[in-house]
Amino acid sequence: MNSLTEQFKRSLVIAEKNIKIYYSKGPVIIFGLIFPLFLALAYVIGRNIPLKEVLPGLIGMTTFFTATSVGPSIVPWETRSKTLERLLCCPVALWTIIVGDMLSSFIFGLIISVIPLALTLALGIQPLNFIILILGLIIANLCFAALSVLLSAYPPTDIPATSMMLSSLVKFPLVFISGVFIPVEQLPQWGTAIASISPLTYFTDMVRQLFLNKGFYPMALDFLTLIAFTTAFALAAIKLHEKTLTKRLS
Amino acid sequence: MDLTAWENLALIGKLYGVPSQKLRENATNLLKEFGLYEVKDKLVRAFSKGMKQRLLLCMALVNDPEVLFLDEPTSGLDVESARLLREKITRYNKDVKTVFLSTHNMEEANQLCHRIAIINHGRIAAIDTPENLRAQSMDLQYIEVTFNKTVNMQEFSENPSITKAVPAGNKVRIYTADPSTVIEFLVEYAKRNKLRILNLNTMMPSLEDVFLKLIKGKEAVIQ
Repeated sequence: MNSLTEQFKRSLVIAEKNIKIYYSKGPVIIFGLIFPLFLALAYVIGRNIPLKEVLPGLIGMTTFFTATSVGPSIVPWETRSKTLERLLCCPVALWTIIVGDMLSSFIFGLIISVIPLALTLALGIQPLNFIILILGLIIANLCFAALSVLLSAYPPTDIPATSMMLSSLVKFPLVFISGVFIPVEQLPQWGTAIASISPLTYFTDMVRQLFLNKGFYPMALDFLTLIAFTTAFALAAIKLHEKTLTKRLS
Repeated sequence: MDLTAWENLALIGKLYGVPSQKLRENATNLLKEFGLYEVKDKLVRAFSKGMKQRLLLCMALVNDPEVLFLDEPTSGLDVESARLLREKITRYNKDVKTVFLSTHNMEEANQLCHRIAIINHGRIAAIDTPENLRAQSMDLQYIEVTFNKTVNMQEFSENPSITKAVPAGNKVRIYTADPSTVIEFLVEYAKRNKLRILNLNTMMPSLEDVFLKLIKGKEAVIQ
């Protein structure tokens, strides 16, 4: 237990290092700030729908893109600059590094997702339950951060652009099937089935319930599914990174 | 690379669990000792290779380890930086700390190491002090002699005390396990052929010779 606590403290140190290095990197700013901003503008401007209606999709999309913007680039970048080797020479387990990467991605997502939320509150749109919304934001950011680190595990490349591009190939389809643009309850049956495989679906559904009081899944199911996705993504990320580490360092 | 020198030391110190007060002290002392204190807040990517190597050594020392593993610490460095690093490694070793050093530089191994292991294809081919390693290869010692005229080396190779005689520029390099007998022979040879000996040196086998002998065999070294 003591060793676990020590390793977790080291994860925080790694997260602090990632924040200093990666938050200001070009791809992170493009994919984590500029891209969601313009997507959000394209989503809102010119549509004859009340802001309250588009809000769940907007918060879901922004949270998803920001929380997944840091993770895919860290490991390839560290491999290229040989700092991954150096970290592994320290008394840290690989999972400690992976958790550190997830935390830095999570914090970035959480900070940025507060912006649309604050804007919403400033416009006088109130959620039904503010605490549940914050808890939802936390679990969703954790889930998306774990997914982003999983996406950096394969292929074991040392080129950040490759990892970012491949992660975009997974991220974009997920946005389109997740009830961001069309609510899940308005999708045909096959659409609902496809939507159920995306973690973003459950977060968007949760936000819809909190702002519009209508959703497809029960709120508890949204939470539990996000927790299950987070656990599965985190474990898969650790396992896959362990498996590809030798190739990555060779 | 994207962190400052200070941030790099702090990162490694924290990962090793060094208490913050001790970490500050160690980092300050090391940066001062290695001449990097003035640039502690600059990004490492702007450092020269020598500065980066010095910082890497600081990072290796920041948690005050009992054993230090260094992989070619002076590789590619300028003379001044390489000398500074060698001095620091020697001093660290004198503080009763153990240093494992891997290097392709035989002269560096000779200068810095108390014991040397020669590794061939992942296996230790020999392990001993530099002196003992050289003593194991006394058949690799040679005499370098310069005469005032070109000589016919046929007579040298007929001498049973001479393993091999090869030309080396204007000198003749004579490999022997019995230098004193060969020196007497050379003096005798010079008198007989009315030659003058301009220069004569007895050379001990270098660690490089020992290494090559162990890896490739004696003939390869002499050739």
